[in-house]
Amino acid sequence: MKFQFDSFSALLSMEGHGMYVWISYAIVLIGMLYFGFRPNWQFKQFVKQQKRIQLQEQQIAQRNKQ
Amino acid sequence: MNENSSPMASPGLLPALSAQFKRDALIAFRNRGELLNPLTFFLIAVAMIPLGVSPESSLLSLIAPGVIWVMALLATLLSVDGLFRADYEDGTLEQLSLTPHPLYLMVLAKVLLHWLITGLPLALLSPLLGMWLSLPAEGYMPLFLSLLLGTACLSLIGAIGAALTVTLRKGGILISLIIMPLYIPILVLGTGAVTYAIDGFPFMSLMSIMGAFLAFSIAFAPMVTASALRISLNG
Amino acid sequence: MGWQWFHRLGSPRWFYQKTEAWVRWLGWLAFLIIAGTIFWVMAFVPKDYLQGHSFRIFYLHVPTSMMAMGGYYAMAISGAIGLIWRMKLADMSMRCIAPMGAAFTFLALVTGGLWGKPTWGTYWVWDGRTTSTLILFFLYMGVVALQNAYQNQQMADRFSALLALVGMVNIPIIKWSVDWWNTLHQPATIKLTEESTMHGSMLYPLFVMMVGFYCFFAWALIKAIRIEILRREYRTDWVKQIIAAENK
Repeated sequence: MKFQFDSFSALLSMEGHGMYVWISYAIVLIGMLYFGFRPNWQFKQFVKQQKRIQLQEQQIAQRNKQ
Repeated sequence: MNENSSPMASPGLLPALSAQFKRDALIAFRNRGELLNPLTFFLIAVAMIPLGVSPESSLLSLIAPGVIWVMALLATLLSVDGLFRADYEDGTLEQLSLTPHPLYLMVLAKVLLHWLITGLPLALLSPLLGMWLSLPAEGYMPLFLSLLLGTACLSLIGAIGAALTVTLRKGGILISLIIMPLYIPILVLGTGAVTYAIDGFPFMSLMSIMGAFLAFSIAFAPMVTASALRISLNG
Repeated sequence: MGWQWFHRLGSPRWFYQKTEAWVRWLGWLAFLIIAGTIFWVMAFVPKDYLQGHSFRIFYLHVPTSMMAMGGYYAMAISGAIGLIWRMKLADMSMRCIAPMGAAFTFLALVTGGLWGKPTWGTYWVWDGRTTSTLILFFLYMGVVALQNAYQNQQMADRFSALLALVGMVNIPIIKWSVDWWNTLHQPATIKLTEESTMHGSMLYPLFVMMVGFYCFFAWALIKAIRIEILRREYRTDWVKQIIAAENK
């Protein structure tokens, strides 16, 4: 195994193909990150929403008592 | 065919099917205006093409098979949307599902009627449209035959979409979305057959493949449709 | 005893608790494999003697295409399991696979285009494989649209499972018809299916990348299913406990 590029700029340009290569890697990685970490964000949202609903239910229950 | 053994027994399969078919035909005939809608759509949409592209006959003859087929596909799609909706909303569908007869055959009878009032007229109109789009003479026969067989497949597959969206108030764009990809093989075969014939190749082998498609659709599409209808009734 | 695991698998609660630990190491595994392979591909894989450096896109294009195709089968099969055995978890996995599969199909098309431009001079060719992938994308979008059209969860699940199954039966037919269509029209382009002799040093990273993508798919899918479980079981006590434990 041998390192294929002479310099960092050669790695970036890849003899003119660099733009296509790097854009496709970027797009795929962004897509994967989105699907990988969307659940984390959804979990926070779910907890927040459920808490709000529980709070409302408590308030309604209290009001009914009074 | 009347073989009712006892007065309380439900009618046999064939009487039940023919009664349902007659009822649907009567309803369709009473709404004569709607009967014409898919055909009018077909005509208008095809007429848009020379207006939108160019009246040049050499260009039109090139795109004629594809245009006529795509428009026939859209016309079927638009008309199949309401195939079960009225029956679902007034409870007829529930009654049908409670009869001892398989829902499969009931669906098949409904699809047959749908084909008779949309697919068949579309196929019969195709020579006129071929003329509009200056289709070469060799193309008329395969166009007619492929539409005759193809629209039957379209109705059968479209019925699946109609059943999947029957509980929604408006199926419209959704049914097109879910069913159109499934129409692609039929479209490809239909236009392919016409192109084949225009180029001077024998096209009957393609018609037999299309016939096989039709047989396959008859066997399975009403089955899926029936189970989708069951889900919409019980879900 | 034999079938107990199968019934357990049908229990969303069991799945949620069991996968707590899996998720973390599966995520790291996917990350390490994919990041390592990208480094390998970028730094050490020699450029293709015909295609040049654009060949490096191949290492994303093939795995995404594979996920696209495999995802549809996975979706349809979970849909069938949900329909036949009424297994809640299968319904949820079907629902979660659909958008991911659609996204992978989209990525396969995008990487294919970005690979094609420097290699064959065009982003888009109506060749058999590209067209089939595009239709696969449409099939996915149909399932996603049907899922979103229904408020009633159970109906949405069953209907979209039926549609996915019909699509699965149709995929070979569509593939065949598109290939036939393609030979009929003989597009004036270079044959894309031409086998280039690939050296082992170019092939191994591809296999490793595929494994990495499988790990990623499993990881993201399990995470999505876990959220779907919480959403659907929000009335149960054990979910309420989880919510209460998040007290901040």
